[in-house]
Amino acid sequence: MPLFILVFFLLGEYFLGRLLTPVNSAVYFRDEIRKMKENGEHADILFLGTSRIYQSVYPEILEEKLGVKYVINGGTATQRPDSSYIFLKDLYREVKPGVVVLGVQWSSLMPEANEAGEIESTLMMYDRLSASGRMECLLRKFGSSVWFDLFPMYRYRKEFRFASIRDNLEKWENYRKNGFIPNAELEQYYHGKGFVYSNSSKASGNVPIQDEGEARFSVDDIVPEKLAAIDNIVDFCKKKGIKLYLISPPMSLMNLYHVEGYQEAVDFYEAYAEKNGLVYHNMNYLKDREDWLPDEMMADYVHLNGKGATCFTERYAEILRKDLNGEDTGECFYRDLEELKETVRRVVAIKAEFTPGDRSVRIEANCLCNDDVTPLYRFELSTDGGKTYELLQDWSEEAELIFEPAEGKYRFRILAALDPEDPKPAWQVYDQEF
Amino acid sequence: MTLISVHCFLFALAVILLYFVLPKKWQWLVLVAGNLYFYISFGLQYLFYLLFDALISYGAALAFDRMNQTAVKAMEGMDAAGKEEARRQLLKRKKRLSALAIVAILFFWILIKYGNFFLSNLQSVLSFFSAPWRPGMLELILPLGMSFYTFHAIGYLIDVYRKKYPAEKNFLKYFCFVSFFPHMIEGPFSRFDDLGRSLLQQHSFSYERFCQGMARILWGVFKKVVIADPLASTITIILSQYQDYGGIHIIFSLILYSIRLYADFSGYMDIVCGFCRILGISLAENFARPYFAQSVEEYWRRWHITLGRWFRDYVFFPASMSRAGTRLSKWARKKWGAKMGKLIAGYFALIFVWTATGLWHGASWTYLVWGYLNLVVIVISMQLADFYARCRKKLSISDSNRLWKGFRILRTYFLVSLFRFFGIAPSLSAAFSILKHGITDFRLGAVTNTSGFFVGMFREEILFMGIGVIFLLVTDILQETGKWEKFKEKSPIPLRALVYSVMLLLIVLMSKGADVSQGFMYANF
Repeated sequence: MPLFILVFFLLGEYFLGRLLTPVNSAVYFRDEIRKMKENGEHADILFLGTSRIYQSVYPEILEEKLGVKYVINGGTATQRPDSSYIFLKDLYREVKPGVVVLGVQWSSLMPEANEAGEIESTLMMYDRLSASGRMECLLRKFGSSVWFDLFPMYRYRKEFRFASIRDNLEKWENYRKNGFIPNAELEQYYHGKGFVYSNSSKASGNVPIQDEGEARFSVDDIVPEKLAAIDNIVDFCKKKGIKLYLISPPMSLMNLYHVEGYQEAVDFYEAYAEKNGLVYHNMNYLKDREDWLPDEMMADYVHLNGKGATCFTERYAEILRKDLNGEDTGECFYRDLEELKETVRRVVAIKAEFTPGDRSVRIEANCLCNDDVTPLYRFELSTDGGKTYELLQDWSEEAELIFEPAEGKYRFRILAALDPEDPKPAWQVYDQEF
Repeated sequence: MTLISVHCFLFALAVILLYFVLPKKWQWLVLVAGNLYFYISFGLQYLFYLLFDALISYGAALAFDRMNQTAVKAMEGMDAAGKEEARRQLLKRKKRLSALAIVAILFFWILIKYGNFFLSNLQSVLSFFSAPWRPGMLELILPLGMSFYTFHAIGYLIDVYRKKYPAEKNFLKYFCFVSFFPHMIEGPFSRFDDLGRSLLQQHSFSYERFCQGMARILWGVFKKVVIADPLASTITIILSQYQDYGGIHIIFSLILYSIRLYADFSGYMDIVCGFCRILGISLAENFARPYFAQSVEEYWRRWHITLGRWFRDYVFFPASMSRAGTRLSKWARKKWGAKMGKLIAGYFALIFVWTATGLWHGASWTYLVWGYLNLVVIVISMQLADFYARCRKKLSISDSNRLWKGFRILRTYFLVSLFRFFGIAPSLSAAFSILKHGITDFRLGAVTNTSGFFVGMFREEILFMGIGVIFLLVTDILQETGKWEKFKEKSPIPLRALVYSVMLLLIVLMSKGADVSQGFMYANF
């Protein structure tokens, strides 16, 4: 009897799991790796890191520019260094990369603000692993509370709707015919070899100031386990004769101004690379940044969109080519954040806070810009959902405004610039109901 | 640690393993350790109340035994009058001690569970008289299982007082009974001479018992996860946003609530009974297909059986045989005849029973009203039993008539479901507002829109829950008609395995997370 139950249950789990598992980038990624293995090919360059990697590195451009055959983007959402290590070992077994580029950012070694998210992000990486990689992940990374999540039927049980199963089956069919399925909701689609192309775009000056969590780097706060994981990656690459590069893919200018101790993070990675005989490139400091990476290249405050990724990869290909040829690339980068900031002649981003009073509301604006300039603010109001705006307060240094609203829905547009004639001021809109 | 969670599953597995791997003489000690771990996992501070109740009841019971022995020795050589006087003195001392011990055991429970109920009523009275001072509210949390272990301790104390069995000499053995974790959250109410002895016996592992226990646990989890939990949102939404719904929706949600409560509570019982079955320990059953009851009185003999028995033995009998009860009975006999004289003592005792039952379920006026509604219906049906019998005779309806039986079952189901409305309403005023709304805005036309009745549930959840309810109904019918065992034996093994597998798959699909289920409803009482 128990054997019958086990057999029936496992059969049910398998079929329901198949029906419920969404066709996602992990499916495409595994298929691509499987095909590579079947053809006996190996990867020339492997990128590892977070979503900043998978939305920044466009493998086909690198292949073309560097004249190599296979570049794989192994970035996954919030991939921690220990996950990168497991992923690297697993991919090494399968595709033997000659060069590994590890994405690091200011937050890579900091304590996690959201520990609960770690399981989800690790699962995304787990889905891209081979059977032996999964076993290692299961034993090293996952506690017993996650074991159930490794069964697709359990993990995706909340998606159990007849409509979603039908939709999923259609997606599988589509995938078999066309090779990939666009994710219309996120305006993203899987572009192959691990790269995700985003169609969304920020308007100039409209990159929002990050709200969640504390954005601060300090050497004192470095999590030893995370640093040890990067050490493991370095040791592994040395042992296997893999050339390892560290890279910080670009993020919005807003973040460079917003993160406390950003330069300290850059200094730390530079020192770490030097100590271990590695090359570290902070692509945020690539010269003429304001020209080649305007806000329109960002999908959000931290990720590049497809155009941004194209532009970035073309430039990174050039840097990597020089590195591989042993040429000096130091001249291509700003020395530090200060030097970069000197080239910025605008208000980078703006944010407003609304404090309701008895019969009025206090609107307080603040912005990110260089210390040696004085920003001007402008407050506008729309009662028709943003079709037309009336002026509440014209350009002035006054960052506060008291507004007495009647009951209703309002949309406020707050702008900041160094000059009222600036064609690209920083701006944000806020919907409020009183 | 919730009962349906990975943590609890691993804990139960560890207890089972240790129970059968370690020498048999240590089995009860494994249970003591398990009880302590289980209880401490909810908070070490709550252990104080449990230990306090256990020590008081243990000490008082030992004292009763000692008093009895001393009195027997002292009575040796006494004449009849002396013996009678000694007996009277002994009873007096025992009564005094039992009263003291019961007050001590009840003190914290009443303070924590009913303190705020008393204070809020006092506040209302003081505010009515515009008094300048109002008492503040207590910030106390009712420790897990306190309502249960308090009653276990009192039951034990009274049984030893009544010389039903001698007091247990070993405190740890007694503690093993009073803190036994499977009956800590929702019961059943166990007796020391029954469960206590079974806990202290030595048990060998039996594969057959293991399979039976596992099957029962699976059935319990199925009822909880597939039937009870999905219904929670529908009931909550309809009753909390009742203005958006009609009377028909409110009635339907009460019917669903009855299903949910039964699946939830009996599911819990199946899990703990299944676990005890694996260990070889016999735990009292709490349900006997209550929704097949043909009267409210019968319903209460089938629902939460052990609570009913507890109140019968420790509240109903003492109250009906008390001085006031017998006087009332004599008076009624003189005034209305022998039959009424017999009944009136019972009615008198039932007032205590239903006040206690109402308040035990919750410290609020709504629960008291719920209890009194049950009382009124029971008293009326007892009072009119002869009249009903005459009517049936005139109409030539026999008791075995299936239609009549069906009608009575449905009537009882609707009655107990409607009474529960007062138990779940947040306050009496809210209950009356909902009632008023339900009557004035009935919306009979909404009956055609079935999706409006299962608000907050997905189609798939309704389907699976429906399958679960059908499973439950069929097994209850088969058990009620005594065909269950035969049905099980006749079913081929692959078919049974398929049913168990489907149940498992549905549990996985309907579970909510790593801690797969919401808490059990009865644990709040």
